[in-house]
Amino acid sequence: MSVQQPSDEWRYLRAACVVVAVIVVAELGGWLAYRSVHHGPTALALTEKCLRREKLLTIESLGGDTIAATASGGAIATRVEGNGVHVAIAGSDSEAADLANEYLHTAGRQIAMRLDVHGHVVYVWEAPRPPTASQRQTMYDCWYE
Amino acid sequence: MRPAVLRRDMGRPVTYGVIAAVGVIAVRNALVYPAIAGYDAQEALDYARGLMDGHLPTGTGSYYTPPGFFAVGGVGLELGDWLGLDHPERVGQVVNALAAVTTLVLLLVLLRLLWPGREILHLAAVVFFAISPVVFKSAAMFHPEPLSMLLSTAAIVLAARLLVRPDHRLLVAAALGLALGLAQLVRAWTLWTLAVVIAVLCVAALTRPRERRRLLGAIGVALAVAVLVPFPWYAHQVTRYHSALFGQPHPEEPVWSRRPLGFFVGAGLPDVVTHPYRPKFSHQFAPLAYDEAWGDYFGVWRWGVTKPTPTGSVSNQLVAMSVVGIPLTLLAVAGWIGLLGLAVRHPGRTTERQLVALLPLAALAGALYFATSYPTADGDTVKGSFMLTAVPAWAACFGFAFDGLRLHYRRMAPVFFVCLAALAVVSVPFLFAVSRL
Repeated sequence: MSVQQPSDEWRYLRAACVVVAVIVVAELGGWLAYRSVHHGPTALALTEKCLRREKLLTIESLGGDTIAATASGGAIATRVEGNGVHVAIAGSDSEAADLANEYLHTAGRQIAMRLDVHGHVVYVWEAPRPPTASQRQTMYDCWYE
Repeated sequence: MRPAVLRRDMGRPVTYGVIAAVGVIAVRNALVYPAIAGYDAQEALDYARGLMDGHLPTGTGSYYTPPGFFAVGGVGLELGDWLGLDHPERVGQVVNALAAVTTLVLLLVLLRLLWPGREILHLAAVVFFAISPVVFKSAAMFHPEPLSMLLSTAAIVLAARLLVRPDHRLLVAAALGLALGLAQLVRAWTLWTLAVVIAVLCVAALTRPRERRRLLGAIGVALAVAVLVPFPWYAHQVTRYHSALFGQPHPEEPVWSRRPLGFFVGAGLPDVVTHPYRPKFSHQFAPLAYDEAWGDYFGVWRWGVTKPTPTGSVSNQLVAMSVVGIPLTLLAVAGWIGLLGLAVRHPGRTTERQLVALLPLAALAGALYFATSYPTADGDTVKGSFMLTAVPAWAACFGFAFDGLRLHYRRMAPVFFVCLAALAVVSVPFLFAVSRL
């Protein structure tokens, strides 16, 4: 013996499945439309917000750093434990490598120990020595690309 | 015909097997899970200890929560101390595990009353309940929710019994009132069970002229007992805190403007699947409730509330559970909408099924109202366990939809069974509690 399903039970279940499908499509469509209109905060904005609010650092002027100023993702400067640092956010690994090469080409080999490339982000430290682990970690904590 | 007979014959033993497995896992979890890691654990333990010393919390901790579970848990603590257990709270946790298993048994009783003979519907609903992480999480904790789920489900079963079988109506009505009253003495959420039960009984009284007088008598008895049993508690709260339910401060602005529109309509995509843990989408109701129910949004089960994010392997488990929950939730929602449609268009036909159609609606409305009234930045007022009393009804809705699809697309039935089994197999590892968080 097999169980028979009342006919109008299926009618209501079918309609309910259609309603659920409409809700799912509306949510997905709404999300895609929202995503195409609203872009999240940029890596530069996130970095700046993190440095200010979480690390309590002040944002400084880039001065005459024309190389950092060309980074497609923007650039900012700050000071960690007394050591100034310029942060250039590139749009890709290759752009980050190009920015680093340009620093090396312009300032010479002595800048290498002050230069750090982390993903798409290029850090150039001010003090004539490599940054301390703590200084580097502070910047990595606010690393966005 | 032969395969159908076979399936029907197999449905019942498999259902019993699933219930037994739930019992074993739930009790094992209660003996392993660190009670202090659960929701509001210290408050709950302090409340239970305080009750055993003869006093209620005074304006601190969970003072607004009725003492039902804490009285049981307090006796459990005393028993644990007497037995010399290192963790006397384990007794209360085991009580919760047993409450969850008993709820599952009551769910089966309810399904047999509402859909007699539909063994596959029963099995699908039992499987849904059995692989719901929110049930296992709560059942392992020292927390009132599992006991309130048990009493709420008992009330729903008694209300269904009242409508399906005409004998001993006044006795059943008194038992129903007692279950509803005791449920309120455990958790205020069960007030929505009271509302649903009374509403459905009134619909039956309106649509069944021959039974109207007897039904109205039963409603009167049930309501009177349900009000009398928790009355001393409500009187105490009103006298002391000027609020019978939840006398906590809340924003001055009107309820409807305490949350932005995104809180109600946001789906948390894609993080609801790719990053199903805090602090993602903490300002959106649906994804938070979803991931709390199907996974471990707050970190009380797998990865720890003090950790900023879960590790890679735990994150993968959470993502897997979030994916598993999608077809189960969509089918449960479809079944729920179908039952609601039937209830609205044919209120006098199988009125008892409206009990499972209306309970999720009332639970959702209640949880939304609470989360809107008391907004928090971390989403703490949107815990999945707040809707635990509605899980048996969601399971019934799922079973209804699953069986409906199976009966309509008979050739696809094996595919449906394989999919359900696969989802269950993927879920099972997540249902086991870990001993350290």
